[in-house]
Amino acid sequence: MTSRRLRAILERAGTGRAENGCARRALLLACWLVGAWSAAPARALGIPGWRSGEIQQVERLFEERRYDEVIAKLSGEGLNRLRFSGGLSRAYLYLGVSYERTRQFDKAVGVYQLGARLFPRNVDALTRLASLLHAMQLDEAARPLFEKVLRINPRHPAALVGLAEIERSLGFLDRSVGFYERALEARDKDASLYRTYAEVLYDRRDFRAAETAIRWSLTLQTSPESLLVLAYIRRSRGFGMEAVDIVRQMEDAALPEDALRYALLAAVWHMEAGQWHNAWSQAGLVLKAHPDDPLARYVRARAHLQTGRRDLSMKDLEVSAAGRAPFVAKASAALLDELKKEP
Amino acid sequence: MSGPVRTQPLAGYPTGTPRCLRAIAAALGAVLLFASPSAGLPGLDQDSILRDHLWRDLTSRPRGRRPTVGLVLSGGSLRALAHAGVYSVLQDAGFPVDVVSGVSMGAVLGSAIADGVSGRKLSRLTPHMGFRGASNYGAFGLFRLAFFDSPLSSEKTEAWIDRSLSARRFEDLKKPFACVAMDIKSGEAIVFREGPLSPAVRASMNLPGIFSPVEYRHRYLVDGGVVDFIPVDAARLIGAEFVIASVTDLDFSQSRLKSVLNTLEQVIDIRGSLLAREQRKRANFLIEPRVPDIGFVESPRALEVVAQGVIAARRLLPAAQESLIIFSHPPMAKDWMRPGAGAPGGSE
Repeated sequence: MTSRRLRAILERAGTGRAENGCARRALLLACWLVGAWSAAPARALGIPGWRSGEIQQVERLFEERRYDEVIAKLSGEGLNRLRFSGGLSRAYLYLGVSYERTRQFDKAVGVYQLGARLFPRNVDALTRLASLLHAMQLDEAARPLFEKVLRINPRHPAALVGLAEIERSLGFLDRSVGFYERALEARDKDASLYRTYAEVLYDRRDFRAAETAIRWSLTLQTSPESLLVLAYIRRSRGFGMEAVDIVRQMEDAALPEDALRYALLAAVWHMEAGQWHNAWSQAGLVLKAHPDDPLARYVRARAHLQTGRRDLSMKDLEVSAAGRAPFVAKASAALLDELKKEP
Repeated sequence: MSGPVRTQPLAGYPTGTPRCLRAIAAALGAVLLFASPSAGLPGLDQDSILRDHLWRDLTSRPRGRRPTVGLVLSGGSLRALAHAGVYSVLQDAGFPVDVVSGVSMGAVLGSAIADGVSGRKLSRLTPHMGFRGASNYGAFGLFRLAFFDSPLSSEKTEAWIDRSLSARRFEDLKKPFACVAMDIKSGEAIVFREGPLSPAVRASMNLPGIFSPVEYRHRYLVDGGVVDFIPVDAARLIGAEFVIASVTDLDFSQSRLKSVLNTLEQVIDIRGSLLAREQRKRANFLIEPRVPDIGFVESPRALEVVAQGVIAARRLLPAAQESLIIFSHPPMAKDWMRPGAGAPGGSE
């Protein structure tokens, strides 16, 4: 709109109404000032309709996932050019995310930091930087950034989730629950958020509330992760066999490699319930595919012990004690020592 | 960052936002939900599955069919308030604590734990456990200390313990408890585990040079942290087989010596810490919160210290569980070796 108006003015100026060069230069200057005046607020306010051609091009590349080209376009002078044509704050985001997607996390952090310094109230850049730092386990640096976002927008869901995750990983489960609840007010249809909320309630041993949350998550969307959480919660509430049934159903529906992991979990839980035959056969399934699997060997060793076949048990434990899972190896070695001590 | 990343719409993002920005927001949500470390729920890795199973087995056993677990709380003035955070995490995780021992401020917290005070309640109480609440510290008291060489009195500690705890004697506590004081005339470490509770706890945290010695059972008693900074032996004395010790040492090179009190406290702590080297080795598992340099009269900063206890304990919890599981193998293995019903058929 602005450029069309400018062109019309210039055309009129070219028809000879302005008699001398000096008047024409003054008119041009006035036009430039009007243009700058009208564009600046739009740019400053980030009105969605307003975009320079340059940033539109970047957006297109970004949408097409051509991240290397986004980086090439915005590196060095690219960002400087946008300083005068608008969209600079978004450009920092596109560049940062492109670095992330190409796994150049240090560079992404640098870009977000610069963006957050230039646009201190840009919650997207701040949240992005904070979440990246959190993912890199630099929670001490991430926390004040999330808190800053919440000072700008107290209901910012990503910042609330970020703080909830940080509090959870540090061990402040009550605070974490509080942040999750605030985030869920804004994202009440988010199944995965309900799942993580249920996990924190589980950590806090508030199993009844955890079950309510995970059942709601499953109503919104069924996923293997949520079913697994439900299984753990049911087991903790004393419904061990129901938990095993859930895992067995997941095993049937899963891809082969995942199915083996569920089979192992079911084997251990069968063992826990004293169903040695089931534990033994589930472990056998895994051992058919991976004969030296440490946990399957451990389960089978414990099952052999139940029948008094100590020699077979020791044989299995020797394999699992040399396995790749450090704790399974330690536990196997400890049990093996006890078996050797006993006459 | 290498975890599975799923994209999902970030609800609540303003409508009319350009599509690419929504994509960024979606990726952001995914990073937060899937790349962050999961703290509690066991995963599907083999170690987590087995640890979770054995932990349930262990914690479902009554004392006697598993080792007796002792929680040992070191001294360290207000730094020792971090023990409240440590205990709170252990309790949340269902970590068995059968007996407790403590020294100095650790004795105050330990007596509360043995009395059945929960970790969360204990954390809430910590801002009231300062130097002022425990003594007649104030302008008049300091004037007397400076000009008449008259030490302060820690008598208020006894009143605080009597007011806050339900037990009056060691025998009334819900868990066996021991605390350590030092006889200033003989230099002996005196372990209290029976009789009236409050005078013993007061004696255990009775800072020499600042408080007058507590006269009790014909002895003159001062802070036990001088001779036994980590009372592991005291815990063993009351039956602990597996000892988990919370130690609130300070990196002394980083401390700021702001007053005579601070300097004196640091001297005591350094000495206690040097003497505690052997005790450290005797503990089965150590939790060492990164406690800040906090002075005698800075009890309003108590929750900051408690938070460090929570962080340290949470970080080390899986390792502590593993350590106790492995330690408990002899009694557990005996049970597993008894043939039971539902035995599997077939052979290798």
